[in-house]
Amino acid sequence: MAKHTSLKLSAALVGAGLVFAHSALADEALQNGKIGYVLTNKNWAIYQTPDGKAECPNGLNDGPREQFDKLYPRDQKHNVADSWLEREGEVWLPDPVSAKPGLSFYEAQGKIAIGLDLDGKNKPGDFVSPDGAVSGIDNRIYKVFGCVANYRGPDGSYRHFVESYMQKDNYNRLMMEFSDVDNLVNDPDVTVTLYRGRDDLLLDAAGKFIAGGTQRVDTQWGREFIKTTHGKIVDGVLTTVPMDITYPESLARGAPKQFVRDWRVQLRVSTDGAEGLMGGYLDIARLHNNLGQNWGTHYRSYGQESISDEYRAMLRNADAYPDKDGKNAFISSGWEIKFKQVFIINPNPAVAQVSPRDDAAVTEKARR
Amino acid sequence: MRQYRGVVRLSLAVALVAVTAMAVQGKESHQWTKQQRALTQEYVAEEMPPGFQVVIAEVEGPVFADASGKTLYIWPVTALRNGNAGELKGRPTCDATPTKVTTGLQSPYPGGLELPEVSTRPSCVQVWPPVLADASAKPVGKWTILDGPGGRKQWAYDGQALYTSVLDKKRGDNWGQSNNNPGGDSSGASREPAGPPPNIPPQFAVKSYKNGRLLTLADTKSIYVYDKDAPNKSNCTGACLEKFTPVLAPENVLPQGAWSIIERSSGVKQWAYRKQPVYTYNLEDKTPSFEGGDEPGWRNVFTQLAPAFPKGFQITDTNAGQVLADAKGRTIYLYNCNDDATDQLDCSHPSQPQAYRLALCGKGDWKRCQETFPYLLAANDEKSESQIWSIKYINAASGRWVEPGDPGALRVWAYRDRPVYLCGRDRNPGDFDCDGWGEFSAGRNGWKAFWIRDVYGRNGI
Repeated sequence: MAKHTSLKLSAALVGAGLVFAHSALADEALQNGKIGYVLTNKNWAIYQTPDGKAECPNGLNDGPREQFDKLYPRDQKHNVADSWLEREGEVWLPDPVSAKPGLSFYEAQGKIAIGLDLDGKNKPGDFVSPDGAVSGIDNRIYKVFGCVANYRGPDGSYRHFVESYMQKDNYNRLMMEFSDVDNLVNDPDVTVTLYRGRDDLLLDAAGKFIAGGTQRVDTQWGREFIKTTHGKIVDGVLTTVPMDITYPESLARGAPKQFVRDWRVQLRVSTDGAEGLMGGYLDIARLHNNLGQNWGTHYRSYGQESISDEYRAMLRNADAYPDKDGKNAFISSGWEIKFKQVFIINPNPAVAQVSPRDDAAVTEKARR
Repeated sequence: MRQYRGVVRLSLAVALVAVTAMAVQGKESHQWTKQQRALTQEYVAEEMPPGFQVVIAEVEGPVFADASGKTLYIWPVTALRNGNAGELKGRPTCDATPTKVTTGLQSPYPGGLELPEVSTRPSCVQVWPPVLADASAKPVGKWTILDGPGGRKQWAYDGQALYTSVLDKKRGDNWGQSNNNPGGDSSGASREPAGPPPNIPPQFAVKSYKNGRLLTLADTKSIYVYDKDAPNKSNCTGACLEKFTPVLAPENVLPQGAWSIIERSSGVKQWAYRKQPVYTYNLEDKTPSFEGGDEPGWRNVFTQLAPAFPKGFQITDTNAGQVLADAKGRTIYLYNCNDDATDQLDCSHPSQPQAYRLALCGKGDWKRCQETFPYLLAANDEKSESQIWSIKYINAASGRWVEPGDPGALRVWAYRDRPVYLCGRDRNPGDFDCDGWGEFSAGRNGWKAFWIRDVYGRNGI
């Protein structure tokens, strides 16, 4: 009995020590009005009902394997050029309007979606949040990805791998640094700077991301990802002022980047991390390119994802920033994102204060 | 160097000075002297059968060659997505029967599809002629004689059957396939040049990159030398050792070839290569890397440098490292292709089927391909000063090499006897929007940027 009491006392002391340590960490996390965060999870914001029938009444979409079998039945002879290479050509240079006869693509249905109201308007085609509290949500990419197995939880192929690749691949090490923070619960004006980090994410013994790591700012190669905006924190939720950004986007392979107009986040923040939504309008041409660069047809087959069909759906649902021909070239998008607190080390603050490729938006506009 | 616009503030100007300094620092490969470029990789001179020789190739380093100077290749087993391809040691399989259909070794496409240009598709031995042993041939050292398909007697090195390539025409060509291929399970099972082991202590290894043969530790950490060291004397002490660690030599080891041993302090020995003490970089993240070379006064070590890039070409910073660019700063791309037949033939050369390339760049339309992936044209006054880079004439409609007078012939730059490309989507220096365009992120059929330093990938392999 005495032994048990002793054990309990020890446990209590250890617990108190951990609480103290946690409290100390929290104090350290916010220093001189600054706190840093590093991205640990990013998924397309996909609203799902338990059986999926409301948003995907026709079921989930076919992927490359299913489409290949429909177009080129195995009991018939085919050649590489007319079948395999026809499919790969369509991946990279998709017909903007029509799929091959016999193939179909189902967009997500319904009025409910997760995301942010990007334009402050409640217009036809906008969504309502699952709890009904927010209307005017702009997340047309949900219509594109909502019925693609790759992106649906809990076991879509992309969702399965996303944290693994966050750890393996530091190309997409997106960081946020808040400065001029008086209070992490309520602060009318904080400065938010985006960086790319260079280092591995901190894990606990069970492989879960934890706060308290350090990250060096990539001022050598990641200068174009450095961008600053402002935000306000209300009741622990940070909302940023929209800005145009490029951010590094990759999974296992390749090093593409996304170009986002009117990018912003809405995050519940703490000294341990931040979690919530990211939104903005994505450049469709670049997004399509990135999807192919990130994962080849082999990988997308596991997630039953046909990017040529997605490209056509993106064009159908494009809702912003017309090109020179007057056709919308961007699509409203939403992501669910998670960050962990991190201590940001900036080896060259002079570089980090400016973005030499601040003209990325101008460059992108010039393409159109 | 990137072009920056909109410089309106003094702070920005100050920052740009710093940025410029960093970028220039990384451009090591343009700072090598002619004497340094002339150094070649030492190798272990093993006993060889009569009629064979070692040739120093520009990028591959020392390779075995036949009496005429043709490079010898091996075809090691490679694990692909749905099975293995290549040859086991002692078991040559490359034969004279042309393959007609795909194997399905690479998902998601099934096997049994008829291969492009099937009626004229060569057999494995037509593309990769076996190195035959005559009746009087006798095994020597690691060189043995194997029984191959059709009853042939074939030379092997270290158990791996040897071949030449029909693409190689003269001494030092190794246009068949390269040690610098994309590699991995996502590309095909490619051949590679065979060569003698490098003359390096067992602690070290050599890895082939586009800018040369990089010296590393056996565990892949990069090796560095310090400009402030004297011949066979280290001046890296104190704070210097916080970033770099001397590569220590075992107590009882002896100097070999270009390798000497210096004594840092009593009983502490350090390796020196070509009289320069060698180190590793403590902050190196992915290995091997070029990160330590960003520290002032430090540089990576190459047992043999690649030839200088053609005059006017430049190394350009990107958001993921450095790529080779033309005189206008446009990123240069290489096309990779390996088919899915049992014999895993290359399809990246103009003499090989063009259906793979044309499908991805133009859905079969060669004119569209000249918009998406135009050839890098060579000006009339440009010339190649190396073997691995050349200027040739190509017919864009056929994708074949042609003679200069051929109607529609384009004068283009070639690397390893294959045309190099630009990307129709790139707009600014440092763009590399077409990197990974193709199957399996372009490892199997597609375009990769000409990476000099791929910080977030595999550093240009």
